Amino acid sequence: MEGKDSIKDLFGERLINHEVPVNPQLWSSIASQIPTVGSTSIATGSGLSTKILIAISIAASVGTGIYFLKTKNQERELENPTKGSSQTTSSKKEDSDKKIERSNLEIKILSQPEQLKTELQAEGQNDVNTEEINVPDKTEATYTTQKDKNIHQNNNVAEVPISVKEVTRSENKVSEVPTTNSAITAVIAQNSISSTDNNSNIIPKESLLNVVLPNIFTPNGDGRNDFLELTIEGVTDFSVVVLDNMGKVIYQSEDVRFKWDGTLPNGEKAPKGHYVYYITGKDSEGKLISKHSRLTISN
Amino acid sequence: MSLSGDAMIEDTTLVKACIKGDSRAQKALFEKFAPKMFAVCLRYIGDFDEAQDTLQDGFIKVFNKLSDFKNEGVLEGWIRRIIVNTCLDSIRKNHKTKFNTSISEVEYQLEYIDTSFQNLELEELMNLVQSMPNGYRVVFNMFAIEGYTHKEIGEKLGINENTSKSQYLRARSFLRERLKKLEWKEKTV
Repeated sequence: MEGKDSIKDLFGERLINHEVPVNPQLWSSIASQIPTVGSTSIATGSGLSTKILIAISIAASVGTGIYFLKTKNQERELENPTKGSSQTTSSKKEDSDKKIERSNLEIKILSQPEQLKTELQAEGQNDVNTEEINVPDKTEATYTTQKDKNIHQNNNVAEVPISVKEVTRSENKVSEVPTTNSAITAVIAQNSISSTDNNSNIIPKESLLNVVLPNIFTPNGDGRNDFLELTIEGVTDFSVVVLDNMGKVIYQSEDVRFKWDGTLPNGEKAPKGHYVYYITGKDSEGKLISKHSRLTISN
Repeated sequence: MSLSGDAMIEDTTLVKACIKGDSRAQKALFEKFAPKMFAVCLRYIGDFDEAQDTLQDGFIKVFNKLSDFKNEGVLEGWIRRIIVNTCLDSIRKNHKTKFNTSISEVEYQLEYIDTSFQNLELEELMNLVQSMPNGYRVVFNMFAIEGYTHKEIGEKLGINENTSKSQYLRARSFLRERLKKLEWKEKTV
């Protein structure tokens, strides 16, 4: 094993920087967990205080808020106090808890599009999460990585979904939340419809956004998992493409109710093995959503 | 892994902002490293969904520990170590893997995939790695790709250094066997 280890070279060199696209939704669930997990540890202490600051600065008038945030980010201890902000600082530590609560309320009024998200958090995890409220345009930094394109792309997908995802998880709660967001109402409606649906499947129809893509099927004619199909509704401009491991398109359809039996264009059965498929479509609000999954065909 | 100075500075700024709790920075950091780390998770944990869960857990750890990152070394390497450790935890938890695999299991795995490839693309190499049994897949990943020494692997997995070596050899012969089937000719014997 000394000398050349060509296996190691082959795999090591080529796989070390290999990238696999990540479901954009994953970020929203991570984002929702960072503050919760970190709130007790000292390690994130500075992060937490900034969160409080952000909350306060929203609650305060916009002008003071921006100034305050900037100075505060530079030094934790304010040495040359300025009128508005210094007052806030002094009172900050005394009753920070109350402040967070209050700022929560005020944020609801301030930022309408984010309203639902805020309410959910207020309900679910009490205070700390206020940082989630993406104060757009007020935080000064723009981070440009080489993945700028990705970020841009994900903005479409990831912003609204955050709330929708949370909603589906805790359906009970949600129905009490007054909302104007049509996407969310749609999800709830779909779920209630599907329970009375006399479709032989009990699988509820999902919106494109929430649908879980199957990653295996067995086209062997035994009546179980013989087809690749999805139960989605409320989708327009739908398309599905299945690729083999050479990247060749072996199946595509633009029908939401497509049903693939594993037959290749040449009429043969697709060999068992690993594939990948992509679906795209527009949701009820016209937002373009695309998802993909690995697909295993087995017996 | 050669990173330019600019990239280092960019990482440092990003880390600082993340520690302050800037959600945009956190998102940017995630988007910068997640695809690569997802590939790592997929190599250690064959199952796609499980790998995704592990990636999530791993990044939560990354964000919580970010203030410990001393800017010594490369951010990517630091994140990678956390992700690998999370993968190991997850494997331990979910599979109760003994890092010794019985031969019958190997044989079973050998006949499982029969897809034929013309030339080995990354995706195919990934498939090969993922098709290995848990036990030596982990050792193989750590040694051949992440570059841990057998001693480090032994410590991490709680196994003997020599076990790690022999597991690696098994992994290698497993892969060599596979590659032969795929008509890949090794340059050295």
